[in-house]
Amino acid sequence: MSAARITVGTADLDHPLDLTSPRLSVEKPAVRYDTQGDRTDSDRLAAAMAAFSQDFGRDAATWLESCIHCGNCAEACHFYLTTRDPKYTPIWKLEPFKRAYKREAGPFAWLYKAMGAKSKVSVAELEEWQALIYDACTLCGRCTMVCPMGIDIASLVGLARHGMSQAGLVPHELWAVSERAAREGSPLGATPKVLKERLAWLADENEVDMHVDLPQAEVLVTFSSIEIMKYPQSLVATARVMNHAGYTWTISSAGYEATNFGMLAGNAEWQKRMTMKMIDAAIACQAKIVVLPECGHAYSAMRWQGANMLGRPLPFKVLHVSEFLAENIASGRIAVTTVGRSVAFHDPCQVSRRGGATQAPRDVLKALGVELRETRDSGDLNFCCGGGGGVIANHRADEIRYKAFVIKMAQMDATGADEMVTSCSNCRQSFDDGQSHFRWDRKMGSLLELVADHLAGPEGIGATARQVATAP
Amino acid sequence: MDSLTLLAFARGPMLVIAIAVFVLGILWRLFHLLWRPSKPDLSEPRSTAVVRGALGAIVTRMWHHKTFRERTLAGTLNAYAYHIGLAIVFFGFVPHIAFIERLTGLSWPAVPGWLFATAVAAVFVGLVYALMVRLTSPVLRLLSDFDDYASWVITILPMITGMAVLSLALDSPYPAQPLYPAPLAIHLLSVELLLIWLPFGKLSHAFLVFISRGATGAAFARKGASL
Amino acid sequence: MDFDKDLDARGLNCPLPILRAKKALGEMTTGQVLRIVATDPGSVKDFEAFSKQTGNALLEHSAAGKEFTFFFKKK
Repeated sequence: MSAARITVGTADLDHPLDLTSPRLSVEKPAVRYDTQGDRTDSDRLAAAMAAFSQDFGRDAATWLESCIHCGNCAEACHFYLTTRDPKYTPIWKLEPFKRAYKREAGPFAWLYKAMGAKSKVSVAELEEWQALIYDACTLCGRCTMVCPMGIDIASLVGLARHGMSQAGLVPHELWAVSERAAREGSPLGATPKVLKERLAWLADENEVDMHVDLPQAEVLVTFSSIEIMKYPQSLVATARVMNHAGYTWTISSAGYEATNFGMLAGNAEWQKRMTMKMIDAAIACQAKIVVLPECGHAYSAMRWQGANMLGRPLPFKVLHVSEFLAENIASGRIAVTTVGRSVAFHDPCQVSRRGGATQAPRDVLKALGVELRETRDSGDLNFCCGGGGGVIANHRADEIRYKAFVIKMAQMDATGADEMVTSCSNCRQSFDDGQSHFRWDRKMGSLLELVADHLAGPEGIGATARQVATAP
Repeated sequence: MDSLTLLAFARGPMLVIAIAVFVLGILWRLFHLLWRPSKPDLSEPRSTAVVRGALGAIVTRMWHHKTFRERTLAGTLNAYAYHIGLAIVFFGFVPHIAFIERLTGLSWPAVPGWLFATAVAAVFVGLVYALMVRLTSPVLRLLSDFDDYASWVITILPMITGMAVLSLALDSPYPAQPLYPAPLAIHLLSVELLLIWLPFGKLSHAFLVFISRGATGAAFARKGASL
Repeated sequence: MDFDKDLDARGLNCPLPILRAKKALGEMTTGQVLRIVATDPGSVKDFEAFSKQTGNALLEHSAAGKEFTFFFKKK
């Protein structure tokens, strides 16, 4: 199997982006490079095992030892439910990692080794499991909600990806976009230059004040490259909301990209690099609040992992934009008009179920006076759009992703709501892609844009000539 | 070896060994888990009520969310049936209480005969049903390994060997001299096998369940997320 | 053929016509007839299977140009 493997060296970085299809990623590769670096199998394995045993701390070890093989997690997973293929049972996606832990670091590792009771995990197995822990897991954590032992399977998959990344076993597209992010500052070509050009164009086109690189600001605003490249109106909406609320705010060309494909790929170094850019930018402008964009995993990366990357508590408050909206609407700093339509809300898994901010978008929708129509499974038990965890970037996962999306379409349709909104641009592009694939006659919208379109008072629309305010 | 010697062995040295392995095995696993590194989480907690979160998860995870009911109800009810059944059989049967009293001095009232008989039935039916599901469900067949089947056998063995000793009326007092020393010795040895196996295999979920649920409950509470 | 409810599933791809039909039938009463117009060629096979699975009788189906019409009687 190793003979046929094609590896990509660091010199080969030519993975052109596809920025025209409903889902942004690198172009569908003619030849896949799902292994990185020119290394021997034993070297890969040693790297993977070292990362696994380092990562499997107290909680992870507890979870790896606790599975009773009841199979309930399958019943929570959109990939299993829509394929009925047992290999998509969430805990099975961790099988080699469970075995590696038990053999290398578990309580009876010495016994297993002495008896030869558990066989060593092979690179071939890790390659096989790559398709399960990267293609068939969106890290949505719905399985955690059903496990009678309370095992947090999504956390374990995230940790397993670290070992895979160390071993150079990341799927082609996910590696390519995260490498690009580490190199250029954005996975999708939204370099500082592109960002500034876009902001200038958007400010002019929409007559809205944009602030870039102000030396000092209360609020540092960040974006997802999906917004920058695909949903530029979200940038405009962000600016309108900030201006309306009357904050001194800025975008930093040194730290604007909130997506973190390094985290999704399992590359801790790249994850830290992306996070530190924003943290440094926030510290530089003495921001009191960092507002994260409509992006699910960006919330996990900064809100819950940012301080751990810095090595000390963050010297600023971190808010997802839906939390920022909810707080400012509650305090009266943002005033909104009534929407008067029915809305179905799609919860981004990383913000709601795994982020704890389930209530914020609901408070915002309530303030907008919409009739909120919840799906059968909503809030913390919401079904994932199928595109989280880097899955949407991966062409190899398209088939199962579309299958999983059927659950979402059916539940959304069943609400009969006039429109759909979410607060994650990655979910949104996943819906766009599903919409195009199934020729679905519904379109996913943005909570932030809905608010920006319904701001009360003159700040709602650009009243005077606006321009990009750029620091000298 | 005659049957009385075997019984003496099962009641004496073997019991001591079994209990020692049981206790030391569990302690070793707990120690091993606590000894694993645990990095402090520096993120700003949404809630500091992590202990409540941990205890809450231990309690709430005793029942499934409504949305999963359709798919997990049968398995959950069955698991309750044989777990409660096992507890009643082990702690509520007259000879078992007498056995424990002789070892520890502790004693409590026995359950009525009809309840004991119901519990025995629940354990047998429940365990057989669980095995059937394990053998027929594609998901469970894929997940299952030696540990699952060995644990099943080791759990049902004391039930089977116990039936062979059931020669008295269920409510009758515990006899001073066992009527059938050999079957009783075998019954005891099968229980000792269970004690020895428990810390090593999946039966360790008996204590891991609290730690695992608690860890997730605490982590989720910290994030302000519900489980 | 007379019908009580009309469902326009033109332009939608599998399995959306089925999902919509299921929802529409759910809102109807026994004996009522649902007409569905779809354009996905796969819908013919899908609706036959749907009828077998759900017990809602597929009274008639026809094709005209690129459009497929189905009549379902609610179980």
